[in-house]
Amino acid sequence: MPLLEVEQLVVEYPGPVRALDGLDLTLRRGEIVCMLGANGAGKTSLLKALCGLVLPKEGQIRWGTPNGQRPRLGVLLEGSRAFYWNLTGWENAAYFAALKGLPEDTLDEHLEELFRLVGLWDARNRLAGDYSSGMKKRLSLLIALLGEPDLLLLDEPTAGMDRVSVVEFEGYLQRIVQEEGIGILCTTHVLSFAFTVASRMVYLEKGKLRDWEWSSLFGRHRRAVFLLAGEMPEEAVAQYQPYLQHFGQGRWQLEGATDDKEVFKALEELLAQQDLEVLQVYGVD
Amino acid sequence: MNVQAVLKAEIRRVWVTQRRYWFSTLTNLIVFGVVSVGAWVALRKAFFGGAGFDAASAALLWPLVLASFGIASDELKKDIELGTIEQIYLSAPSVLRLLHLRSLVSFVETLAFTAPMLLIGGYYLGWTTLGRWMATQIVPLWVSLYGLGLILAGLLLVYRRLGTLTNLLGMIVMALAVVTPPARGIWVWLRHLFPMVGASAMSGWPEGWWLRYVAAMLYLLVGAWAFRRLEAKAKRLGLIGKY
Repeated sequence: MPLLEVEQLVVEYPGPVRALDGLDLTLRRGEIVCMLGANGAGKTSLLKALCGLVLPKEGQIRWGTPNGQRPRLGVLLEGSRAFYWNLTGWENAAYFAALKGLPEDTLDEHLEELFRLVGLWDARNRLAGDYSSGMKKRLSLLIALLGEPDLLLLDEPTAGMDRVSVVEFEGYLQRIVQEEGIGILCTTHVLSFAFTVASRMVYLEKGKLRDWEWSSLFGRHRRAVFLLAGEMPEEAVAQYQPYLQHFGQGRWQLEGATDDKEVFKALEELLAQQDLEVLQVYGVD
Repeated sequence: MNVQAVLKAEIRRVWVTQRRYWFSTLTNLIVFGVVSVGAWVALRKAFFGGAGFDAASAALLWPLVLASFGIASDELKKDIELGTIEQIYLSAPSVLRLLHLRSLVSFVETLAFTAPMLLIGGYYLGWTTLGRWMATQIVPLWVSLYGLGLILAGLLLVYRRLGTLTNLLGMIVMALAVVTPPARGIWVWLRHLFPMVGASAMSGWPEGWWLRYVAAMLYLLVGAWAFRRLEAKAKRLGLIGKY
């Protein structure tokens, strides 16, 4: 039974603007679904509808929990401020933990674990207003992670993070999904992030899920380039030879036209079967 | 929602903020005291011709009136301006219940701020008079104005530009609080249906004063109902996270 099942969801804003136009989506426990799509495609509206900040006009949201109730959600929304600037990181976390109804007797332990995890342990007693933008992002993430949620809804979670933090964060998401069996639904524009963490990627356009059309991802770019790292078996090299270039030391470049679905099929197979890692993705004219 | 834990967290948040910005707290306290004493003297001369009780209560009343009426909308306005409103909606199972608790904390905070004035008032007017005034006027006034304030808070979720209107309405409710309705005929009972009016009267136990509590609860229920309706409308229009 999926953790989340969305059926024919419609969200409409005054205008009227159809942010979601009959969207269908499922998400299972232990799955990371990355949502891609242009600005205004409806990605954030879907997250807001799922966490109750926006009421859908039509459609259904079904939760695969024993009582059918919304599971514990951890939400990180891009653009909103998740904490009070005149409180320290720790005070903020403790305040929101109380609002979320977390038990007080184990709170210190839980907070310490999270502060260490997001790398803010040494800065926990500093005012949140004095944090750098990367640290603010981490504190927002920490607040989303409070109370071990069953489903994480993340809106552009790596925006503003440096590369080292992104790598750590990717590892963390993969670990909690494996260890805790939670589900993650995440919006992103960073393809390398999506390729690294996603069990599945979906593409939103005008409030609907579209088929995996790479050309729309790259807009006007004619070709897509993927830098890959890892061991490439000889048969894979032979099979995908027209698209592959070896840089040495386990680095590979996969390149092809954005309207050539074979390139992306090759990529998906390589990632799924050969345990390769995507280091970088970009479009070229 | 674990009421006790949230109440503790709210008290801690207010206390930490007041302590961290202690200089601002101190200056606020001084300004508060000076303005209150000034208001007492001015009201006494201008309107009450030396009737100490009414003038004193009017001076003590204004911070309580403003805080009770404005707490719900002020708290939401702050969270909207800070950008934390979405996080509040995501974390608290019921924002309405959170506002109830914040109102309670604000009541205690306002009493703490007015404590010097209350102590002076109690000393000059008598502790019994002060206690009776709190029981017959202040508590129902607080509850009823908080209820009306919830409507304003709900409106603020839908119409963000109402922010400045709250100040204007605050002045109006302040004026109403010191208006003395006639204590004759049907007004003896009818005035209790408006606990936010004529709350400066300090003398005696007014006949049917308990009706003020009933009326106050009705205002609270109507306010809560309106807030939920407007909150649902804000969610339908996708306005919760708009700044």
